[in-house]
Amino acid sequence: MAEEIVVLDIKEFARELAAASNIDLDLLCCHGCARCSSVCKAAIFSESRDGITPRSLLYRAIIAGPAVLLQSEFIWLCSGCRRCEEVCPQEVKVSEAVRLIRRLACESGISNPYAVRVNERVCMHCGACASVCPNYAITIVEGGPRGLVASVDTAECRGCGACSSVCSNAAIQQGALHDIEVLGLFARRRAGGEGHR
Amino acid sequence: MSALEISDGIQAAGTESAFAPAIAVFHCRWCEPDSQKVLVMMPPDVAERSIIRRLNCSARMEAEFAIKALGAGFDGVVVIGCEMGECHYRVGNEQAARRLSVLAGILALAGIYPQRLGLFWESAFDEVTTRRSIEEYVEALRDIGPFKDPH
Repeated sequence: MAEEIVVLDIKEFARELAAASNIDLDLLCCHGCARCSSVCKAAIFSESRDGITPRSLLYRAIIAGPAVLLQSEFIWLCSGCRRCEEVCPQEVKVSEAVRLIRRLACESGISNPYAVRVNERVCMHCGACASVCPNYAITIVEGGPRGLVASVDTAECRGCGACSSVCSNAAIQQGALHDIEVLGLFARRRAGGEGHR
Repeated sequence: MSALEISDGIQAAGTESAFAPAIAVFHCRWCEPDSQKVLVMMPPDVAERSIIRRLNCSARMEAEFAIKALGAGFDGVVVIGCEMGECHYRVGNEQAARRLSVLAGILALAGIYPQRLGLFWESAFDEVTTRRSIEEYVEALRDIGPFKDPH
C-alpha cells in the first residue's frame, strides 16, 4: 500500500518536471547504472552531507519526496556540463532535470548560495560579464540609475565567478567570495609579513 | 669530529641558500577541493609563509589579485586549474589561461620575471604531476630570489 503511493508520487514528480520542460526528459527510463554519477564532478567533489548524485536524484525523491531535492546542495553545485547526458545509455536528460529543479527551488524562495549579485549603482552595463558567462545567465536589461543594468538569472547562475573577474568596476560579485576578501588576505600578510623578513 | 664539521657545513650552506619564497596560491575547487592538500604539496618552509584561497573556478582569478599579491610582498602567485577540456564550467580555465598569459607578458614588460606567475592546468586525479610542477616552480622561485618592486 505504502509502496504504491510512493510510486505514484515519483511518477507525478517526473510528469510535473516533464510538463515544465519543452522536451521529454525520459526520467522514468533510468535503469540506475550510475554512469552519470561516475562522470559527475559535482557528485565526486561535493562536500554536502546529503550525498545526492545524478543517479540518486530520482531515488531520493522516491524515498523522501521532491522537497529533499529542493533543499540539497547538489542542485547548486551542478554546472550543467551535460557529461551525465553524454554517457547515459537510456538518454535520460539528467542535467535538464536539475535545471528544472533549480528553477522550482528559486520559484519556491530558496536562494542559490553561489549566485552572483549586481551592484546596480556601479554597473556601467558594458556587457563584459554577459559575454563570458558560460550559461548565458546574465543579460543587460532596462533599469538601474543609468537606464541599463546587468541582470542575473539566479536559477541559471552556476557561480563560476568569470563575470566578477572581468568586471572592471567590481559591480558583480559572488556572495561566497568578494574581491575585498582576497585583497584583505594580502593586506593582513603585509601587516604581519614584514616582520618575518 | 670531522663528520660533525661537514654536517655543520652542509647545514650552514643549506640555511644560506634556502630562500623560502612566500606564495599566494589560488586553486579551483573542482581540481583540488581541499586547500590543505595543496599546502602539503609545498615544501614546509614555503607552506608556512604562503596563503591559499579556494576559488569556484580558475576563471574567478583576476589579474588584479596577482598584481596586488606581488605588491603585498609575495614572491610568486600560483594558479591551479583543471586540465583543458575538463573545466566544470566548460571554458572557465581557457578564459583564465588566456587572461593570465597576457598578464605574464605584461609582467615581463614591467621588468618582473614572468616565471613568478605559475599557471598549472592539472587533472583532479593526478596529484603526482601537480606536486611535481609545484616543486619545480618553488625551485625556480628559489633561484630567482625575493621579489623587489623594480619601480
